[in-house]
Amino acid sequence: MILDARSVPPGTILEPEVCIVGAGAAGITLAREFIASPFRVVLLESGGMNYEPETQQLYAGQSIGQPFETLTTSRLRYFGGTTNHWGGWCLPLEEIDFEPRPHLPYHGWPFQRAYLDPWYRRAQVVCGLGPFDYRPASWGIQPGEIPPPFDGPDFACKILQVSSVRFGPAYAAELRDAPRVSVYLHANAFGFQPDTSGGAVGELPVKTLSGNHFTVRARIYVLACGGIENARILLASGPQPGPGLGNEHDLVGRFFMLHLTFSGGVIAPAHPRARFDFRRQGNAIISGRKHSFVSFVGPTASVMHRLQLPSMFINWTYKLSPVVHAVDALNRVLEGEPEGGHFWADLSKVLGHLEGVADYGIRKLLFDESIFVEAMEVECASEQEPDPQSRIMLGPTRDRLGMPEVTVDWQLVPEDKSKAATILSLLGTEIGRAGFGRLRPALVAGGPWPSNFYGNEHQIGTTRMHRDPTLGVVNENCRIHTLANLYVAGSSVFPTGGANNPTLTIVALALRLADHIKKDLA
Amino acid sequence: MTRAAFRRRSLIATAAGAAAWLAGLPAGGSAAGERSLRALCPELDCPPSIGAACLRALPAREQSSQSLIESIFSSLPPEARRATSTRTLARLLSTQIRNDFRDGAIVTADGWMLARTEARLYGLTARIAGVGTSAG
Repeated sequence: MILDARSVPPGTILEPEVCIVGAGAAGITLAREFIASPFRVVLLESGGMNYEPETQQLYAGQSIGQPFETLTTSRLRYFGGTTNHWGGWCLPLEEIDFEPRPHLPYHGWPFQRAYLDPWYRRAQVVCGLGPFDYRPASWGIQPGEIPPPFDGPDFACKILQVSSVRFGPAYAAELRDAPRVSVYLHANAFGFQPDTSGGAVGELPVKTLSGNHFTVRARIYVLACGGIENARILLASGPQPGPGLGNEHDLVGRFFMLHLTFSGGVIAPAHPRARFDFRRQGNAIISGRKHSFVSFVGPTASVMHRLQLPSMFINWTYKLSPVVHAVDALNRVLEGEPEGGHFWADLSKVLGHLEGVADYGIRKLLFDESIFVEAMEVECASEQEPDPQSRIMLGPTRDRLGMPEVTVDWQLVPEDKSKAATILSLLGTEIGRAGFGRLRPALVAGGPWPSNFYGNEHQIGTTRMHRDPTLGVVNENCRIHTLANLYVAGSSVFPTGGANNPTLTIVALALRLADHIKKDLA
Repeated sequence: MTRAAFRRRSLIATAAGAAAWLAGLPAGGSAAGERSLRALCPELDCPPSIGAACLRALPAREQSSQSLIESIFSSLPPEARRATSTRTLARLLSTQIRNDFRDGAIVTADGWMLARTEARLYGLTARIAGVGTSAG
């Protein structure tokens, strides 16, 4: 059922088996997993079913480090969470993203990628995706279509799938009809309070903007409010002023990471009329259903190991051009083509009306042949190095509920830029060596970030996972080390972010956590 | 089309087209490798701006036409100096450009990552066209 917390009688005490805080991708996934179970679940959502400015403003805070201006715009605080405006790009993290890396501190998850695969497969279904198969050949990009250098060994063609699922609208009815799941809208968790032993959460006060208040006393709690809010709530929990809960080693809020997004430069292709189908957006029919995908390129695990490089997601858009006189003339000299002809005149007239950067596939569809690609404008998203100095803290101001707002101190280390520049330099070298084209990189060693550099909306790492409580807030089962009944879901538990979009991994981890909690309760 | 737009398009096309050009040059040509090279350069249709950028990026000892020619041939197999076929010379140049990238012999000209041999070719083209004060 879906209820409004503003209508709960003040002072009510709810006593479910499981209390989930946050109805985004992680929280909704968790709640759904309990529908068929005998356990009662309370799912608390700060917002309503739609955007409400006053609720959204509860995300406000300040930024004191690297520019980070999107506290109230990158996240959405209503039922469905940030999936209400996400792009739907889904793919698992890569094997190397889970591995400890020599010379790279803080890398390594408590398990390997393959261990998580069964939950990734289930996450594909939750996200409305195709099969758990990210090989380009399975999406119509055959090995022979992938030109050097993107056929290895240093760069590879990769696939992501595109989800059209908005978790709120997709799953609201199911949760509404679940007899043992109660969704409370407009319900704000106001900090967990420990029990008398201090080794578990005793209760969770809940407040509404209308002034109502009640309490949840559950056997198990799951915090699923996102990479920034998870840290905020933990820091604001327990006796205040104080360090918060789960923060015995001053780790809550630290290791705050984003995906570093910037222009990679321009590629001038050596063969402008080549087929570039290996890098496109498209659809594939798999088992009778249409699924959307995007192919992109990135460094391989081999070169990442060899040169100690981070993960990077490299994409490009195609800039089409009218006939270029010099190259056209040169082609006639080389190939002995008859000069002029109606085809070029007609094509140049049509192309003259097509302005701006366009997706190669659209033009191919229009003209059903290779189109003259003047250039590719490269876009990059790079993995940030985990750095304990990059952190979320409680700020000096409070929101309308009285909870401290966040202060974001997003920091970078020099290697974030230098290694990204190294990857681009390697890309320029490799496309030259392979005869693919020439790169004018927008980021070079020793130079500044490109002017469009920013940290995107993938907020990661603030309650990181590690078996050692001095290196992680949660253990390998995503339970707070020092609290027997408080778990954390979402990208805040990622020890490293990789370069891939996090939502599929968020959902996979939520499914795994649900399985774990069900065993725990049983 | 504005001059700037033409230069940009030509720059991109030329920077991109070296490998294709070098693979596709027609047969025939002069007897000596140097004459072949001098004859090939104008075919690149290289905008003066990129040729000038390459000259700025190259060391001081590689600024005159003759020094550029010598530098180019010094990186090629000996038979390049005797190449009577422009196609043969083009193939040798093409191979050397790939080797330059493989070996990290890269010159950055106007932001573009070019093979050293390629940059020398564009610089030579600029000199032959009379760009700069020490045409030779």
